[in-house]
Amino acid sequence: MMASQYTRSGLFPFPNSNSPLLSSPSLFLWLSFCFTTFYYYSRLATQGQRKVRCFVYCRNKSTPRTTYGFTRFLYLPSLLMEKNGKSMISKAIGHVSFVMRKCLFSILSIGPVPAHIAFIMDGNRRYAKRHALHQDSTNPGSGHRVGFKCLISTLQYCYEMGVKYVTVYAFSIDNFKRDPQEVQSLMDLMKEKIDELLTEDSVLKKFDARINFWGDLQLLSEPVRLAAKKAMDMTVHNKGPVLSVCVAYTSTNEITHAIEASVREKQENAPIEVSDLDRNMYTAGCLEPDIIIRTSGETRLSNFLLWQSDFTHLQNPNPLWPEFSLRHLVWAVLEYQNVHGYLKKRKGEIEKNK
Amino acid sequence: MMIDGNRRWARQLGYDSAAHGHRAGAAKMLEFLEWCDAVGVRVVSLYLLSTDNLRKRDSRELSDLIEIIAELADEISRQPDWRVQHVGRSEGLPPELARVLSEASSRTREHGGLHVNLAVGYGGRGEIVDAVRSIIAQHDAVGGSLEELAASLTPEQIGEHLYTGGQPDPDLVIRTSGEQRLSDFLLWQSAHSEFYFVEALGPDLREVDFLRAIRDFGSRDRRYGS
Repeated sequence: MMASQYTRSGLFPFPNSNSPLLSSPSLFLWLSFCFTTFYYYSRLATQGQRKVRCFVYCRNKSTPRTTYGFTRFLYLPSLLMEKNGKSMISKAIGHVSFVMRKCLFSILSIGPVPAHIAFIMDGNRRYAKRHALHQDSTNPGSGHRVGFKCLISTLQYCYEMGVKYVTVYAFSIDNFKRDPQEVQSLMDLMKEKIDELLTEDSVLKKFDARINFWGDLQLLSEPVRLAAKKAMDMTVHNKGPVLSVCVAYTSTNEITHAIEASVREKQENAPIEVSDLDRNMYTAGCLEPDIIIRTSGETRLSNFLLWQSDFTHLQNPNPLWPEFSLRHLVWAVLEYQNVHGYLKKRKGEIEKNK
Repeated sequence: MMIDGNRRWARQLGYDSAAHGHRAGAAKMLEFLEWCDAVGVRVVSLYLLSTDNLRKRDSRELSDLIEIIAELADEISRQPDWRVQHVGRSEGLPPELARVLSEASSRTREHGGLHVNLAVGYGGRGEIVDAVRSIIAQHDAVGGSLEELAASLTPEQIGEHLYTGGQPDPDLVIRTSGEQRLSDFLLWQSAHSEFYFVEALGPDLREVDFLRAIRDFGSRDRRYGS
């Protein structure tokens, strides 16, 4: 392997002073070589053919900040692609970006990848205000449109990484208290985007994903409710990952609904148990979330997945939801990987003692 | 307040038994209650022992912990004007501990000062199930059917039948030792609570950490879901 000619430690083979590369101006050749070696090692790591000591060492010894620093250059193509439109250059950059993301996710897969990530998409309105997006009375939902784009790209990254379940908190029952115009524009946006998710070139079709809508759907307007039902029916047989959208949802409402169902099916003289409520939750059959990420730095759950988040790692990164990007997601997964061992041990102790 | 990290603290200091850590944690909780009282907090809930902890096989650590909790409950109840309330299931508890907790609660029932909830033998899911059972029992007593009950059930009704029924929901939940999770504590009540995670282990908590938590809470924009 050519890499052995260079230094063995470190992530990239840095040429020594006698190397011909330093004396030639072909920095591009050097970068290509580094990238190829990087990709080769990451492929080996995922195929389990050999222990890639330098990667494992870097990942275990580094803090999330330094490990993220190593892979920072991978984000540049994603940034360039986001800035450009749908041109040929943008598509080419998109392909390069896809390959580089595969490398990155291969490295992440050395550690445990979360099976279920939940997002509280907070900060859309603040983003719109901060960036002075068009927010007059005809379009109070402009921040939410940008937020939806971010949701699609985050979904794509999660599914490429191998996350099986993604849950998002789209609309809470308490959000009905907001300005009626904003609520109406959100309902219209939801209907539009649910229909968009069922088209041929959507992220759901690409990954053969299934969509669920959790919440008290009777509170939604008729067009949104029908669109949601149609989306669930059309994707119910899909075998890929799952997107669960919590709309007209609060955890207390979910628990109350589960209690009502348990009370209705209760046998005479049989007391209600935790397992009865578990079975009647909207989330029955789904794994409990491994991570709940709330953007915009707020550290509260706002009535989201309270029953299911016993062992969930709570994270609250500072960026607003439309600013949440691949690097924040990678950082979140790295933080999770740092605590995973301890959480698994604690969960194992409790299961053993039951 | 979820005090966590007592065992890690004891291990770091080289003690062979976790009881030293729990004892230091208990002493720290007493200090913590004094800080809360000084700042003007009205209700403090301490997560001392969960239902999962009670099932642990290592019974020596458990029996030490039970003794420490009993002493802590007794000491808190002897503070002037503080009210102690046991929050949790009494059924699974050792009789001695259950007795100390119930005596502490009844002795301080009329006190009007700091209200201290001691979550001993507590599980969030278990609390909700117990609330449901209590609602069903109450409904059966007036002779209603289960179908009527299911149709008339509201979240407020469930809230009233929890162990903390009638109390305000927690505004701030502090957890020590850097763990960032809920661990089934006050899960119904903490729907809109702010969380504050402290890196220090339980017995190492300082007053400045507590004051920083209060200051941080003051700067939060609480929207209660809207």
